[in-house]
Amino acid sequence: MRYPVICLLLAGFSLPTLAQSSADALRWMQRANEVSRSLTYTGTFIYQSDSRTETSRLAHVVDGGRELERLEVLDGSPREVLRDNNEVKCYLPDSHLLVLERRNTRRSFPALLPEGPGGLAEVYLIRSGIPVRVAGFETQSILVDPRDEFRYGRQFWVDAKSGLLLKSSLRAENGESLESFTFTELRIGGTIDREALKAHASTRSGEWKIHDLRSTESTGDDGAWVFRNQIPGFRRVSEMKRPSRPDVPESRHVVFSDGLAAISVFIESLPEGKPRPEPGMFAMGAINVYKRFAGDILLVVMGDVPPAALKRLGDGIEAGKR
Amino acid sequence: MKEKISALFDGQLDDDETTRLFVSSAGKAVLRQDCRSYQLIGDALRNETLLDADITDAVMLRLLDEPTVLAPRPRLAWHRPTMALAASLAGVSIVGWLAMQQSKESVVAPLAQNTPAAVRTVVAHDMQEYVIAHQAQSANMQFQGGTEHIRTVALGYGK
Amino acid sequence: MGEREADQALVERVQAGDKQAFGLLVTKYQRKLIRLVARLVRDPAEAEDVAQETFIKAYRALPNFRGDSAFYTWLYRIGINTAKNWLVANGRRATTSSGVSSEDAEQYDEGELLRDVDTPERVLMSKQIVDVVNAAMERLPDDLKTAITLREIDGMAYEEIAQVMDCPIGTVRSRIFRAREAIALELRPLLDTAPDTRW
Repeated sequence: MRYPVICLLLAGFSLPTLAQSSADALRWMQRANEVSRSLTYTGTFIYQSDSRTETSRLAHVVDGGRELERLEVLDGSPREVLRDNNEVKCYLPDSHLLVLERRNTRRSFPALLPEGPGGLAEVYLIRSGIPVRVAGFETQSILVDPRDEFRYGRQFWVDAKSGLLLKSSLRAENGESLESFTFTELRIGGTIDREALKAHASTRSGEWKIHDLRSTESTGDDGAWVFRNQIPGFRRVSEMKRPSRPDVPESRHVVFSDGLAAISVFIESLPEGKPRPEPGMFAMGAINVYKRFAGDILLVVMGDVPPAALKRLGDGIEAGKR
Repeated sequence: MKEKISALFDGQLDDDETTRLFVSSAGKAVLRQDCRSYQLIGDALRNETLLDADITDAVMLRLLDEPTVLAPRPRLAWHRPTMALAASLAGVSIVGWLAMQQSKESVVAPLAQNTPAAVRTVVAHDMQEYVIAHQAQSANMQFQGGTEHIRTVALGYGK
Repeated sequence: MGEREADQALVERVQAGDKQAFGLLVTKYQRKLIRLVARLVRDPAEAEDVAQETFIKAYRALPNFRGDSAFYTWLYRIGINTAKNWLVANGRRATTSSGVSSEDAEQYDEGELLRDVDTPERVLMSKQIVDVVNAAMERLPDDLKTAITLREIDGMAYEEIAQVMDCPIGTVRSRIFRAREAIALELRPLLDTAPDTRW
């Protein structure tokens, strides 16, 4: 990758030279992604979707080669997400549920960035915006506009000094904000008490159920299912089998991404004796969900993309010839 | 703004203005106080009893602990021209697509009204694990700077 | 927009995740619901508890509410069921002071039964509020007084009021608002409530 601009010094970068080109904006994004994994920081952020608002605390520590993270929701019930590298635990006290998951390690953001065919710039118009103060930090804003109706627009604000993402929003076609994250306070570096990274929920009472969603097997593209309708810019990035729910036989999970948005397709056979779920299009905050049946198989297509994209992809799914 | 609240109370404020009032934090604070007064005034004029009873705060406090109820985006969105265009791009003819929508008569609503048939519900807790799995698999390729897991737990799933 | 459409619009906001909108529905129907429940439960404090329970149950059941009936009609049924369950849980039979069963109680005029239920203090407080409101009404200019009377007592929509008073709808809206503000001003010392900012 070569950028036709002067190299930006990451330390002590001064704002007056505004990044104007798409390449610079991409560079900011890439850097933000890297530093979010490599820096230690704690903060409080507000998450808004529809007209709901929730405040949460986030702690992220890098120790040796290990990444530890804890997210705790401060409004309503005390939900927590703990992460140790790619192992994720979600504590849901309302349903006494602990869900275990493992993050995908195979693809990462920078790998999808290159310009040229298939790059982000093909499906998004990426520009730098004006500097803005967020939570007391000087930030560089980045505007990402979709080039078609299959994805949403986004805006990012990154701290000019550290490069951390401080605010981001997801925008619908009409400009309506579907979702936003904003840090209201952020402390970068320093030492973080190990207690801040431990789960507060106590699972010892024995009432908790554990759902282990971790994939048992990656299938690759084995032709079991065919996706006749492609969405421009979206490529299949993973495919695996997983135990989706205790009462359901193995389900298949295929993930598509254009580099920013992601679409998951869950393919599963229906459990015996249970009522059929209702098919159709649903919205859950920033995530839309499209359910349809292919015979006795339930297809769930979901992601942070407009309904049209889900419908197009979902309607073209067929069982492959074995 | 307060005059708008008075109109909203009488159900005489249009959707956009209503949304704006609900969404602005300044609007929210005045909204509940004014509506409380207006209801009381109306009840008093009608000579009703128990005028000193007010359980609104108690109910709302309890609601803080309730998971947020969810219902899908209204089907009205499907009638926008861009959606029809997308459908045609998907290889479904416009006529066929509209016919498919209309056959599910309980969920199609005419543009002019916000009828209840346009809204359907999703059982949120069923989707919980799908969201977790989706977020975990897409985390590394997304650009959320550490906050990607908030979607996993933000939707207020409950019992 | 009629009453039913206005309620439905609020319900849809709640179904979209806006808890605040539910607060407006509570404010609107709470006293009506308490009166209803008091027919069965009798004690005013307990009636308030049961009404609270009813609202919580209604909130939880809201995803299943499709607008086939008016919101209050739906709420009413939940209220009756909640009250009956409460009575069973507390080992009481649902009777009124005159020994009538709960089914019959639903038919009775609410005023008649409530006379058993109100304590002297509550009746006094209610009366004070009514007096202040009526006094404030008397001091209002005629056009404001007429507008709010047609709205609150005759239950007319703005369009109808505009026809009756032969003025634009914007004027109706403004008159009703000014009437309310004037009355609310006089009520403030009596209520002396600070706005609750917890929700």
